[in-house]
Amino acid sequence: MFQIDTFRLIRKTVKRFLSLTLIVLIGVAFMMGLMSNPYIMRSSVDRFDDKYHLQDLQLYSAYGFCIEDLQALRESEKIDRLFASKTVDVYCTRQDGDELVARVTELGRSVNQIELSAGRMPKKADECVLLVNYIGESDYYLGEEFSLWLDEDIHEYLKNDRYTVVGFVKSPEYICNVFGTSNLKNQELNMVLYVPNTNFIFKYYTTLYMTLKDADTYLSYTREYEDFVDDRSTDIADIAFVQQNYLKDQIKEEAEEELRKATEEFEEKKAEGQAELDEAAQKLNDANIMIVNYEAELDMLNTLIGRLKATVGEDDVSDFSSQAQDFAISHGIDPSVLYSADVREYAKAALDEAQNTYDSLNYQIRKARQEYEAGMEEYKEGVLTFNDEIAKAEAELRKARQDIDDLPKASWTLLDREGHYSSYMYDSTCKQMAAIGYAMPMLFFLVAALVCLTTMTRLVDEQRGQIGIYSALGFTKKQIIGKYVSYAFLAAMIGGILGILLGQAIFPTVIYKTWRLMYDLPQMVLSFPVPYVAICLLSFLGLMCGVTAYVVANTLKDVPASLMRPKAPKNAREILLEKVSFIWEKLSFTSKITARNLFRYKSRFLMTVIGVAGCTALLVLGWGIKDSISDVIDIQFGEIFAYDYQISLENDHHLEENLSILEKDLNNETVVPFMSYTGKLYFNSRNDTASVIVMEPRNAFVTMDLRSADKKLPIKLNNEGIVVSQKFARNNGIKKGDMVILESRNGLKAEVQVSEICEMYFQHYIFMSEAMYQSLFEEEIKDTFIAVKTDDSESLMKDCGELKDFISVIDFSGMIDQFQTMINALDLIIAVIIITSGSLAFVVLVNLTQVNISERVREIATLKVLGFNEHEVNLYIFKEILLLTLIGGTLGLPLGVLEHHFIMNVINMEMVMFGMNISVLSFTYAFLITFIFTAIVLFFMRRPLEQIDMVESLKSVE
Amino acid sequence: MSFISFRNVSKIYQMGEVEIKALDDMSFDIEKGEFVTILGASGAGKTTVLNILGGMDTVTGGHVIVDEEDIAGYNQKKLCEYRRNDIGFVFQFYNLVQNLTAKENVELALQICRFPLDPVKMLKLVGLEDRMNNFPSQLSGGEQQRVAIARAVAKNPKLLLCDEPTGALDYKTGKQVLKVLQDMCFEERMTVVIVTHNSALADMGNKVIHIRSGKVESVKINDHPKNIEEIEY
Repeated sequence: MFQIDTFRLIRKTVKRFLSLTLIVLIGVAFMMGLMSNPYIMRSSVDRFDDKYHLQDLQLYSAYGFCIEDLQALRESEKIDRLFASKTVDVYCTRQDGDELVARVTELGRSVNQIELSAGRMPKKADECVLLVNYIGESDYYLGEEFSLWLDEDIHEYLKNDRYTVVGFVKSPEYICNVFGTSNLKNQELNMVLYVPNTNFIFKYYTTLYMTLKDADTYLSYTREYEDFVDDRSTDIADIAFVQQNYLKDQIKEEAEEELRKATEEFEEKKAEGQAELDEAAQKLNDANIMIVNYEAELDMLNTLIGRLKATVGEDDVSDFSSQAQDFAISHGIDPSVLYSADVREYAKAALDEAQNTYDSLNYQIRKARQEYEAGMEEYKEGVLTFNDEIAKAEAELRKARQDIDDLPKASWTLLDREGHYSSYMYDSTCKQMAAIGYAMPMLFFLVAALVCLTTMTRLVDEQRGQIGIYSALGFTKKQIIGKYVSYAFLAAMIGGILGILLGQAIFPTVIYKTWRLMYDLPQMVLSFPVPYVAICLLSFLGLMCGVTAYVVANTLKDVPASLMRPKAPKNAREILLEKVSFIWEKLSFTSKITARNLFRYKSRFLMTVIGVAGCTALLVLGWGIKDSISDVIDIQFGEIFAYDYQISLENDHHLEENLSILEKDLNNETVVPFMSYTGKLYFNSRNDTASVIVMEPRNAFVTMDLRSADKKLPIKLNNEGIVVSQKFARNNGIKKGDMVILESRNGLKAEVQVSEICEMYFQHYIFMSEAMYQSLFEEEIKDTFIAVKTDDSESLMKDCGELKDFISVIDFSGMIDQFQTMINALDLIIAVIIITSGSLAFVVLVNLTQVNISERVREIATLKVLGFNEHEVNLYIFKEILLLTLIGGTLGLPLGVLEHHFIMNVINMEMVMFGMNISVLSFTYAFLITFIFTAIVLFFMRRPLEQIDMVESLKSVE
Repeated sequence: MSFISFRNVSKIYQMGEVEIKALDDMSFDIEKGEFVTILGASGAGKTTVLNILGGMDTVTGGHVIVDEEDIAGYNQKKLCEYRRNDIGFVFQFYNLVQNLTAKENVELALQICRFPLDPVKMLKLVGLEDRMNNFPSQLSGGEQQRVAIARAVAKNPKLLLCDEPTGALDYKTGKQVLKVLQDMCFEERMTVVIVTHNSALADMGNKVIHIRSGKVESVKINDHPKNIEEIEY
């Protein structure tokens, strides 16, 4: 019978029962949804990871890996799968001319497998599947052709340099939309191409991927998993330690051998060359001798001709010289003819002949001389070339020697998933969500407790008589408490179960969807993890039953007789405000009632104020988060870095030339060179790296707006110290005036004072003047960066085409766009927050209004009889609610600021300094929306007020 | 023309299929400054008369003339105006606002009407000048009812309408309250209508209207109303 009465009670007080159920429902939904969300996020991805065998460990080595390395690793029993991958980072030109950085790796993987999401797998060597991570729509299409290239010859690495996209894939290896950096000048990696492995023509494997036996039984990202992997990987680290030098030694040996061969060859070739040169010299010499002989002969001939000419003119030819006779003999002329009668005739003929001979000989000599001279020229050149070549070859050999001597230390880097970019990023995201998941439900828990207290108090007040009767009939306290506790239990149970279903249906889905904007996540796996279900249900059941038991037990302190009499209304009391009579007298009676009521029902007051404050605080938080992230972009790229483009150059050899190219273009407002490098800073036994920017103070002034972190006062670079960005300073505990040790571009260390901490929201920076750098390290400044401020990107791109040693240009506005997408993703979260805070405000306000109305039916009816019109009656009830909303909303603003601080600290990112300022507009939104919620509740509460019958005023008091 | 006039008033309540005739062609007149007692057993239609006269309910047929205005044709808004300006209502259970002091309860009424009277004077009139700043819970039933009367009168209404004003009070305090009402009428010239089942109160007014089964049974003019002290019930 007693229990039937419980159900009857529920039917009679269905509104109140529903409001209890509702607050539990909302509270549990939030608690469950937010608390189990990290688990859902992790388990969804973990399932994907296990299905496609995401690496547990990964090995890198500067030398790559050889077959022997694999064999050594295979001996470990801890390894489940081992996959040796060949990978090369290349430039990829799309058909529309876009240039991207792609990583090319092979298909047929046993670790880090891929899932085909569209198209098909490659069948031919020049086909590929593509993994692109994109925000929003992708414009890659099946059948698209990529042409790949490198600065060096790509065919040293890949057989094909053109590939057709035949499919799109997903991989657990790349779920974060940032792929990391490539090996090409550290440029951002844009995509991954999987191609058939026949394409790879280099010898050694680039990376080894491993999964560990039984690792997939653990949930990724959990402590248990990490401990398991830590434990198992020691084995592999041992193998690595032994094996890591193997390939290096081999490579070194090979190189030595090659060098030896090359040296021999060189010596051989050198000797050969020398011999050739010597021969040529000999030939030239011979030619020279011949020419000299010819010339001597020519001289003789000349003499003979002289004689012959004389002979022809004279009678006496008897004294022909022996010379002439010799000559005649040597020319086949019978010397006797010299004495013959018609010697003259003969001499004439001889003269003619001699003349002919002379001419031809003379011609021959001229030719020979010409030839000789050409030969001589050639020889000289040959000697020069030879010497050059020798020097070159010798330098090459020396370099080869140097290279061998300089071979880097062989060391294998073993990375677990913490060293895997995607996993690491995702894990930190999950951790952030977990922190939020524990903080937010507390608010709902508190409000649920207060709502329960208010509702049950009112219910028990109404049930006084009934309780008195039970008590008088002899039911024990326990039984009576049990009856009402079972009422609350039922409400909590129904609300709890529905809340768990609803919470799981909404929150993980929405949050997962939001994170999909940053991660390429697999299908979500919705589950109801038992520990979370238990925590949520038990905590709320305990709360509801506990509060109810307390309220009933409190009432049962009275004796039955007094219980059966109506409870004396809570005495009104004078309040402090009444003492200030000049204010009090001016108040309307509704205001007076409101003022007194506020102090009369403390639990109601608390419930409403906390609920409304929570609502406003949540809204402040929502918009605050958006503000914080907007600050990162707006202030970082709009104010602090006031330039639009950053050009990086390979060296500063043609800096002046490059600067003048850029300065010539009138579209470029500011062109400023600077030096930048990644430098290590040591402080208090810690060290950390930051981008060091070295600039002339005058240039810094036009390109950057450096402001002190605390007071936002402008900072000038000077010679007193360095300026450190605030997040960097905070991470390392550096304060203004601290002495730190900084590395120079070439690794020199010097102690320097931190003269200022500057405002900075993204990445870590250290700024200093050029003079400071020089005095600190006594090193040359090498300006390899140029900051440009311009509105005309097209003309700048054209300029960049003309630059020498050009590497890349970064467009800061592109970065702003990327951030903007992330911020837009936050709109979804803000929507969730608005719904959340709305439901919170709604439950609290509806509850308060209901209790207020039900308690004052008589008063309201009386007022109506007295002639109060609808508006005045509404105001009578609503003024209190409006005032409470005002108090709650006002308290909610600072509360929101606190919450915002808390959350922003939780989602703290290493590189990002979130803005801590919340804009006035955000406060206004939060406040206004709270009032809009109130207005909506009041709008719907007008009807029950209207429905109160005036006849109620004539009824007797219960 | 009388100050207040019920002309062939009928009121039919529709309870599902059943029609209940609460008032059946009822007519009576009340003059200005009269002290009228409407007497009837429960179920006679007393409360319906009260509701209609008090502007809390509408009629099904007939006319209700109050100071030359037919309130039978009033809509909700005009009825509200009527309650506001023309009626002073005294409830059986006083219905004071618990959160306001005696004085504030009187002031409450003043906030809404056009020609209010001074609340302090009103409280003096009902003999409660010493308890002005007490809350209802600190006052006895009789005192509370006197505050309620002060609240009703302070509105300076055309008609003071009392629903069983002594119903919740003991004999002695009931008498005190009735005395206040009588003084209101005879000394302050207020028109007072008391609706009661207690026939002992019949003799204290100028006119007694007996009703039964929704009809006026008799109207008795009493030229010499009895002083409260003389009435026994």
